[in-house]
Amino acid sequence: MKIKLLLEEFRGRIIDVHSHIGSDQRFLLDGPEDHLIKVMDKYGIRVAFVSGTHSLLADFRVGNEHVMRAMKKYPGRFVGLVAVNPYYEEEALKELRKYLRMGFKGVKMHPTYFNIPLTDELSLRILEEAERLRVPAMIHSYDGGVEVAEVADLYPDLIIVMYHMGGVKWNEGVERVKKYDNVYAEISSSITDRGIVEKAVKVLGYERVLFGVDMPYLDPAVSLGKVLGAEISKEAKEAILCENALKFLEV
Amino acid sequence: MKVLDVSVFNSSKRVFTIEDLRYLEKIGISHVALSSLDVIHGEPQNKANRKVLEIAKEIGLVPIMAFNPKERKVIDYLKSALKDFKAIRVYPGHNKFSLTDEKLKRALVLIENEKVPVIIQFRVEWGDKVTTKVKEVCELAREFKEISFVASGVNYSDNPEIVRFVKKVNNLLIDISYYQGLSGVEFLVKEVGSRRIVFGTAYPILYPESSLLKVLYADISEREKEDITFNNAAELLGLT
Repeated sequence: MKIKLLLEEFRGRIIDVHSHIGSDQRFLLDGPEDHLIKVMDKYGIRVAFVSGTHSLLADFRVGNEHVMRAMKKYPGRFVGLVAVNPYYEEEALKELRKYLRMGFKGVKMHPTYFNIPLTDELSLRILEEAERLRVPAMIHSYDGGVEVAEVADLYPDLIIVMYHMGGVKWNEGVERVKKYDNVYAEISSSITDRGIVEKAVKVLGYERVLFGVDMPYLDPAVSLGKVLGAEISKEAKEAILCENALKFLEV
Repeated sequence: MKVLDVSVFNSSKRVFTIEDLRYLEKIGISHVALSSLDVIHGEPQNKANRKVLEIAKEIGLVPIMAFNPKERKVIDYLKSALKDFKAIRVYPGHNKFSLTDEKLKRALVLIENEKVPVIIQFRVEWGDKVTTKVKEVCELAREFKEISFVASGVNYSDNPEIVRFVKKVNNLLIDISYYQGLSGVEFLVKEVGSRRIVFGTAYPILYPESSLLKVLYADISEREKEDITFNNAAELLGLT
């Protein structure tokens, strides 16, 4: 089938900038590292940037440890993102520095699960530290990019990856962050509206669009279908799936 | 591989054309069943369904009747129009009726006599507030045992109810068009078996390539893939 042939062209080179190791038992979703590797191999995904589901849903320390173990077990396949809850103030900052020293490549912020606005002074302390340490901030965004735009304005030297492109309001999301060169749009989410990838490429240019999966919530088929099915050039597909995220690997 | 897509939509805003069919064929979808979305935007069902019939006849699609039990004289309409369609699709959340609605149940008695399958749509757009529960569909399936029901528009958030309730009834199938969880097709095959799953894409709302990849890359047998992509839906719609 044509779609399979198309995907095979990118086999072994695809970089997923947004996934999670661990489970979410509310939905009977399981994502242990062994299973993620099996799935990544099946679809030809070379590397996945991951935070721990445990970090987001229960205890950020447990999730970060889980990611560290997975990185050691599968060298070069998982890139760690430190997830820290801003309410833990100094402990969160210490955790951030500790895991960055150990090879993690960025910080994951989830204002909804951590129940704190991204623009709260406690969240801003985390972002300031990320900017100082020159690591990207991966930010969950389901508000049409409102919070991301605010912090992009505050920290022009901080590289921000807007996860989910702003969610249901993806149209607004990409328009809102267009003027901030330090913001990249990541395409994963339940929202698989046709045209979503085309819109991101048109507004931001394909250089600022990143491929993400969001395992275990989503199967790679969801985001791969979006990119492979998008009416964009082959060069743009290559950049989104394989090339644009290389700079984050080199942090 | 033959692929029958049970969730393709037509609307006044986005009319399904021969070009759409060519596109779907090009990516590997060989058979298309078409339903109207206009009924959720207030258009009378007879008008919305007439358009679907015309398109289906003209370019060779399987017509599905969009049915809203809240309209007046629906039973009369159903009696006169049912013979032209291969299935019924209802949108309880969008048309704001419950699956225990009396008019719906009167219609289901008629539908059961004619042995026509019923597709129950949970969501259409991702921002939709989903009010339908898998459990309620299972209860309906228990009451109308001769009707095959299809839960369409379900996602991983419905997993706990799928595991708990769907296995207990034999006449309920699941459409994968909006179903997205990690290894989701494998999960469904393990929980309910490949004979209870049908293929859908929600074209032109969603990228159809995603659903194709879900099945093509699933760790299941070729026979199970064929059940999902074609056999089950063909049997359901009377195409075999």
